[in-house]
Amino acid sequence: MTTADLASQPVREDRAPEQTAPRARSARHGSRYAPYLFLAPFMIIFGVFVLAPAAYGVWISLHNWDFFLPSRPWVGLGNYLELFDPTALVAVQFWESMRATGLFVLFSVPFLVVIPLGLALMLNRTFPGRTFFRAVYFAPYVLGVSVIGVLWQYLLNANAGLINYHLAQLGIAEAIPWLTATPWVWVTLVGVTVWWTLGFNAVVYLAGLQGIDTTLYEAARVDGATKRHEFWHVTLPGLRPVLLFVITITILASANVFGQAYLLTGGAPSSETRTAIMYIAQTGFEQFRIGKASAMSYILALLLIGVSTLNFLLFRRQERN
Amino acid sequence: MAVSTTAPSKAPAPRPAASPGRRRSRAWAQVPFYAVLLALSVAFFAPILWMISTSFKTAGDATALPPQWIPPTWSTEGYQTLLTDPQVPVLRWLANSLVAGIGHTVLVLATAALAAYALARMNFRGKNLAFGLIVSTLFVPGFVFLMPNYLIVDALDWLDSMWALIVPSAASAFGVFFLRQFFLSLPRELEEAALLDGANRWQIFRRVVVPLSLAPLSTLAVLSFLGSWNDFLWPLYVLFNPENLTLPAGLATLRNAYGTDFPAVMAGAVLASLPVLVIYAVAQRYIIAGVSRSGLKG
Amino acid sequence: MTLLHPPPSRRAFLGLGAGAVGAAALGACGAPDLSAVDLPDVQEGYDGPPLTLRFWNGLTGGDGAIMRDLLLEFGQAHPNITVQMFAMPWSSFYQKFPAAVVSGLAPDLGLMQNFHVATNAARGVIVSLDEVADRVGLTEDQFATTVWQSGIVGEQRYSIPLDVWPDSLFYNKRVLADAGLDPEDPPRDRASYEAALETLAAQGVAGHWLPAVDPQGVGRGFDSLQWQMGGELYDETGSRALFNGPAGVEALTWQLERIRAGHSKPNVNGGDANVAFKNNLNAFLWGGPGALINDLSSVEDLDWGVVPLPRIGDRAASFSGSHQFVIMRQRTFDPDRLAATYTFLSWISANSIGWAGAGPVPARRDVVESAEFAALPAQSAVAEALPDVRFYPLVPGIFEVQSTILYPAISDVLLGHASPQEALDEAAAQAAYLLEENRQKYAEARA
Repeated sequence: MTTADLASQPVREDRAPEQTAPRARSARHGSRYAPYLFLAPFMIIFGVFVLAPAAYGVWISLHNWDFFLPSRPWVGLGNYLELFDPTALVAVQFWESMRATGLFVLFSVPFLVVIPLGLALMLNRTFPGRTFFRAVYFAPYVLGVSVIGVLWQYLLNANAGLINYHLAQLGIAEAIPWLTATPWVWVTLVGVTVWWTLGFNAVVYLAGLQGIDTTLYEAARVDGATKRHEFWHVTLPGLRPVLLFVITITILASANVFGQAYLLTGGAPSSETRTAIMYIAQTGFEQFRIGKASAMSYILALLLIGVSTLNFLLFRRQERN
Repeated sequence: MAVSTTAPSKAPAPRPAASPGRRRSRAWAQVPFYAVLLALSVAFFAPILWMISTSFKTAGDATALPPQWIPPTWSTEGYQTLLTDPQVPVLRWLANSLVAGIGHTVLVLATAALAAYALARMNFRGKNLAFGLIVSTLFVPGFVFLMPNYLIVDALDWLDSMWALIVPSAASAFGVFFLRQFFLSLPRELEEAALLDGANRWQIFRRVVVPLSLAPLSTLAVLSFLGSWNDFLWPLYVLFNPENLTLPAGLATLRNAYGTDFPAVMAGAVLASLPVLVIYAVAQRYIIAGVSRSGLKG
Repeated sequence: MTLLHPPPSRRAFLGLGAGAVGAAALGACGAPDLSAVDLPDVQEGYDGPPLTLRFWNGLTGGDGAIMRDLLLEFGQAHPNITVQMFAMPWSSFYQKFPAAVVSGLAPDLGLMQNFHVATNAARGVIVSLDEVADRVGLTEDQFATTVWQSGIVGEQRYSIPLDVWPDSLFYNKRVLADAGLDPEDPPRDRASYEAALETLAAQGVAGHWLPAVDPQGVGRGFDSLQWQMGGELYDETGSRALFNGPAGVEALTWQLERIRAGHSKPNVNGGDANVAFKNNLNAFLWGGPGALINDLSSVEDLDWGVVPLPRIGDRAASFSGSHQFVIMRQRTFDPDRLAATYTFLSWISANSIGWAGAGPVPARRDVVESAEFAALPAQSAVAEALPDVRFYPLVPGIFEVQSTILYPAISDVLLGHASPQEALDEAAAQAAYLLEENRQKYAEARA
């Protein structure tokens, strides 16, 4: 490991680097390369597979870049403009897929924010079996999306699946088209996603709940606060940073939805559940129109960054009030 | 949610000594609480049980109506099909997934720990820039990099190879961020003592910091391995020969539109899930600790 | 377990370094060379040192097992050539192999559905086989004309047909008998077909589950019907969609009526219809022999038969596909591998009777006329439709138009979200856009 050789100069006097004038000191003792050597392995990978593609993607999106065509003419913002041209098929399909992603975010995020919170509140009590239940609810999260896909496709099959069979036993005679018709496809995608990832958010909340200062509860109790009052005035404010985190990553994760839709509904019915990522992957990897696909992914990314920022600002404003 | 209380578990609120009658009524009050928890547990676990049950059915029983929870005849047909059929080299897929997962994990641990240590404890020109760049990508959705990364991996001649699975995903900012937060929380005294003994940065890192950080390193290792094991979209596009697929990507190719052999598919799903479920059972604490820590300090 | 990949090569590490420096410069060096190429001048009948050919296809079902048996047989006849087959779902195949060609990872040969040949020919990822057909010793008179023609794109041959698989009517004899219908005489025209469905419906049996969502392509039933009603999907040059004409609307309306009349369940998935058939829950299944003959034969106690599709319109027509061999564009062609490929193509064409066991009808006329083929009752019944088979037009990008525009529109109608005329009109307008875009793109590719 070259890092060891090159970083081997003693740094004896650099004992509290952030308190004493550090830069001059470490430079004087010849260890000024050490930080860069520590950083280098990661930064090389980071540069090649994150920074470079980020820039390269912009470059591609400015060309009519078909995988098989020898010429890749510069089209400037053409790919972007076409996505805003309501007469262009690609724009119609792209915004249809954005709508699908938007709907999925809209339907799934509230459930993924609220249900895990309820679950975390239940699990936050001390009772026998607590660890067991926590482990059970988290378990689906460790399964891969391909397992989730084949499993639920089998379970939810409209005319031969287990779920409809049990529903029929409960007296729901009409076979529910879970994978083929609206609104059921949305129920399916949201339901399966909630089942799959709810444990993750619940665990994050649990940690947040345990970080809330217990004296606040005691004070509330002394004031004679009801449970409900306690929840609104102690628990929720205490959870604010966690809530911001959960909402932000849940929105991002939901906007990234691909595997569930790809495997469960394949975009059906018609293109109702063809999500943005699915359409981008189809355009880029199946139809090999890489320029267009790149432009789409930047539009989606910008939107998401915008949503995250907005989310962040909203929370901050609330905090100020 | 009338039954739940928000009393934090760290300090279970001491209750006044209850009379026997009250205790009994409190015990009864627990019934709906446990009922809800149990019902939820069934809902969460039943699909997984169904997957296991189907994997031991015959092809006929798997599509028979009405469906049977317990296989009418126990059969390992699905596993046999899967393990002997040359069209589905499942053992190869399993080995590929393991190699990719372990390679990826080792690379993440090594690179992220070094970088995180530099960012937590050293001062150098460009530190803020580097940290800013890394953190800002935490919230950039990964698909932006999909297409250009494909072309870069192609240019590196890594398509259809393990390199494509091991290296690019190691560029994730999460590991660096996660470990840096932990390193910042370590007391400086131990490192300072080592400095006084004449250790250099590398030696301090190796002998002091790493041994103190085994818990977060294990957490990161487990999370990285799970992430790599379950990755689906990327392997789907960068791997070509069916022999080079990973288990999850291979599993998706098992689904035929017609005549789906459900026991075989479910057996594949069981095989793909078994390692992660075992890891989960063993390292549950680490996984959950990692998730909660990443959430709190985000 | 063998090592999965060569150990980390120095090249890999150098590559990473080079990538760090040169990633941004990639734009300049990215375009692949897919120009037309002259194949080395070799004959079939390879007898050099042992080599292994790589053969990719989408035969992931029972058909794959039969192809593997044939490959073994070929290996016995030609011990110096091993054909290593990789089967993946068709959708993965069409996604992966063009990308593999561009990246220099292409297999030697592939098997492809005929409606993808024109697209990949235009992309330049498969090579022209005009001379190869001669070398392999294949001529038009050995084949059914429509099938032979279906490998020719723009006056050049790009593929060699192996088989043809017209959609056919599979019928469940037990269900028919239980309903009091003659299990040995399935309906062959509109009146008798509707009457049979009516009889079944009267006993609570939805006789023909009409897939409204189908990963295999929900629209093949529609395609056949509109041809039967005198329609066309596209004009001859493939620049305009015609499926929204009266025949198309009539065809789709007929399908919709089956659901409304209770002849079909609503919201059926392609896989459901198949499962129901196997469980004696419906009577009729429209589908390809390649997918179904083997699949249904594997179910114990299932009593079924097959005939060509009933004539619902005023003429007989059945959607059909054909599996065709193609040779992948290589960066450089190795004469030995090419000679071995020719040897294989020649052998498998002559021995395609073995392939008939997989379900499809061999493309070779002499094979179809052989006594061995006559001994396969299901396949022989399917082959009756050969004079009436119809293919998609050989236009680059045509399958994309079918699968991303027409089929979703049909799905919409069968799920009850839109009326036939409305949905087909909208699809035709969208198709026009995509057809034009494809025309420009592929014209540029060929230029």
